[in-house]
Amino acid sequence: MTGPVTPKPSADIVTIVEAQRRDLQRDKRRQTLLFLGVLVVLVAVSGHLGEVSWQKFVNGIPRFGSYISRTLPPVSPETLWADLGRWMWAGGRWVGLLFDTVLIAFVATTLGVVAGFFLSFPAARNLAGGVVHYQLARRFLELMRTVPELVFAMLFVFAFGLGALAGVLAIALHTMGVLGKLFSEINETISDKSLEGVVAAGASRDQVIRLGVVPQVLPAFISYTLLRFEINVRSASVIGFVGAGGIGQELMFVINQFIYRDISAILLLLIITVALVDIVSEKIRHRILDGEQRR
Amino acid sequence: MLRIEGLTRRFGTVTALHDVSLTVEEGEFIGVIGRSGAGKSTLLRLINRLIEPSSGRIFFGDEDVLAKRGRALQDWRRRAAMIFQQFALIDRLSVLDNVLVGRVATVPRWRSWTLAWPLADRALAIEALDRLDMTDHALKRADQLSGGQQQRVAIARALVQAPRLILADEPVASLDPRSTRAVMDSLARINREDGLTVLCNLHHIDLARDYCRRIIGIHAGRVVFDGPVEALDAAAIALIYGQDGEE
Amino acid sequence: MTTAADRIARVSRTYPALLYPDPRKLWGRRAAWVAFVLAFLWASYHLGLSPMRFWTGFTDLWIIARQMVPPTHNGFWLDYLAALLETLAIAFLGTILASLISIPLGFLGARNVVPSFAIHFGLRRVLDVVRGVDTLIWALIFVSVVGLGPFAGILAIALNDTGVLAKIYAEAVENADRKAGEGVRSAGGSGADVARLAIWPQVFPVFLSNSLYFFEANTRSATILGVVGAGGIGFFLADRIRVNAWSDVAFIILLILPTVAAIDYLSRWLRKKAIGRHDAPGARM
Ligand SMILES: Nc1ncnc2c1ncn2[C@@H]1O[C@H](COP(=O)(O)OP(=O)(O)O)[C@@H](O)[C@H]1O
Ligand SMILES: [Mg+2]
Repeated sequence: MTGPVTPKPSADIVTIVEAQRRDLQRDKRRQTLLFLGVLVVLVAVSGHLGEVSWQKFVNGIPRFGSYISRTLPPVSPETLWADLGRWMWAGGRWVGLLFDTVLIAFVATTLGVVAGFFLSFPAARNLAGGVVHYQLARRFLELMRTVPELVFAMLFVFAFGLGALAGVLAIALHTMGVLGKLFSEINETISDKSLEGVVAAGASRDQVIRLGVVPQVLPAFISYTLLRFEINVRSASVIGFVGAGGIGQELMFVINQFIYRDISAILLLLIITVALVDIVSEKIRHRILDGEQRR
Repeated sequence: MLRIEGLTRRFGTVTALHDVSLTVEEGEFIGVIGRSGAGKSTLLRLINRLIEPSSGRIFFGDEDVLAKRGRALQDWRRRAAMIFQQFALIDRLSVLDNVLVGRVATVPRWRSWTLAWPLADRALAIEALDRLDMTDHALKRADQLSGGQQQRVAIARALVQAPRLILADEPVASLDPRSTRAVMDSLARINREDGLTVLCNLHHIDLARDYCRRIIGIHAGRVVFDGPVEALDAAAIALIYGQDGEE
Repeated sequence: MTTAADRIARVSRTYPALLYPDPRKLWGRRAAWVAFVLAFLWASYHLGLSPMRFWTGFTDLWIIARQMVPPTHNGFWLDYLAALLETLAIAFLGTILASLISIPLGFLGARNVVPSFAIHFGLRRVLDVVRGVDTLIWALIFVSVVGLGPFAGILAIALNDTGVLAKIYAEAVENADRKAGEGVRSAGGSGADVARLAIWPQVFPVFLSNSLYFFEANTRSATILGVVGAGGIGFFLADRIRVNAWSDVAFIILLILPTVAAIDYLSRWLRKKAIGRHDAPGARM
């Protein structure tokens, strides 16, 4: 009961409380209205900028429905296998491309995590060898994290030619930025106290990191790496749009050429691939975390 | 052997250690006593070079300890082994690997990076653990041990450093009475059998009386008593801990 | 003083199991590392990555980097700014749309609000499918459906986000209902009352903070939607790269970076301000 109103002995406490409650409610309602007002204005402005109109929605949504239905293959129970076979007519090639896609994610994640790992120590305030190292590492990781993978991919396709190399490097750089920053934040949770035993025994800086820091942060690092791998599989599925390898190029071709059946076939295989990768990665992650808790 | 001259350390406006001078001879077991905040930890950490002094000098034989840099500094830290109140083990490494951390300053970098310790070092670490009755726990993770056991692992780590000095910063302050005895007995035995010099910060005067031959009393950053344990009379205690516990 | 050899001999008699690391573990770990490195090398080989190509490409990259300075706009800066605003509009409207769709879906997908297994299971599988397909793929599809332009981008972002947001919302509703539904229900409230009185005040902050977080992430995604013709700054970016106008590319990237950073900052500030210190669940990386 703080505030401007001091309850006098003669005043009715109930009325005071009621009045304050009303004030509070009015304030809250005003805030909500303001919030909604700002939101409406922003939506209107954005709608104008984004060339949105009611008409577009009304036209677009049924068209999306018919688009989806057109991609579905005709399947009848009598000729089930033949129908499925015709649907997946290039199944072998698609699975091969999806396999490449996963490999791109694997190689890129590996490269990115190694680079991010080593940069995460100078980028951690408590472990950096000095302000200069710290600022350099931080800014560099931030830049690599903020530039979208696809932009890197386009630049690299120019430099390295069409193919997986450009895609791998693009995803690796972005991964390095994301994980390097994340890892450095985990490093910053390590207390100096927990490292004193190693320092006082005569360890050099790199030995302090290896023996004192790494054992403490490794489970978190591995967990985030696996999560990033899952994300990178998704990224690797679209870098082909700019010619940087994987399933993307084929997917873009069938979508742009309106080869409806192939669109659904490839998307189905892609979804299965992504789901499989997620399941395996989550299994590994859980095993690591459980192993941690059992100790 | 160890000579400290006019050592002063300030933290901002606080003078944690003020113009401390003393000499330590080989094989001594010295108890450093004083109230909490007197500057005991600061003294030991300065000797190991975990922190740098504001002024003063430290000599070991004819070596200038404060001039050491790089490898020489690391080797000095190996020779001036620290033991901490909170053990300072790496929880997630095995007991054996924790002990082997004491060898970091002597092994090639790739070995410490891959935890591929030389066989001779492993043997050394196992013998150290054996001396402290800890071999049964050698392959457990450090955080599975009790406080007293962890402190004995820390002592084993100090031993394999092949140190000239042991700097123990309140090694028993976090332990129960029985573990306290075990840990203090271990330190006493090492001092006796290996002739290792021990500087041991202690909060409680009784332990100092039981184990130390020489006492250094610190009050508000100054050495106010330095003499054999027999000379530690009521007046000296009053000087070290302040009259009637006030101030 | 004993020599090292003496000591090893002695300990190998007393504690052989400690002296020699468990060979099964040791070789198991080594084998795992070797297998990983081989897999990495084989994958690189299979993808046609070669150090040679890397080095030759590197010189080209250096040429690009040199031509990037100084960044120039060649009089297009107003168009770039407009495209950047369009990017923000796409991210914003996509997030709003996804949030609006996700609110009813979140309640529908919550096990304890709609106790129908069929609805619950069906909805979650559809969301899985929607989520498994990258935003850029949806954008490409929507370009086919509604034509080139930002509208396709908005729909793509809205659809992909719905897949994630609806799931997070549903989990938030399940958590909230368990805690607070009992009180209202025992006081004689209907299902709708429970939703409005007990659940909504609890889940609203969660919804809001997640939506803000997604707005932040969508700003990043929206910068590249233009590559497939779905509006925003990405169109200019892809175009300038296509014609190798590297100094323009640098200019556009330098426009994007502070914008993304500013939105990050704004969203973080709003999340803190509006919700106390509520961290978005599912807000990972
Ligand atoms: N890192 C530090 N920063 C600031 N003040 C410190 C620091 N370390 C110690 N001090 C101060 O120095 C004084 C002595 O501390 P310390 O040597 O730890 O005392 P003791 O070990 O005898 O309890 C205390 O007043 C303490 O607050
Ligand atoms: Mg202390």
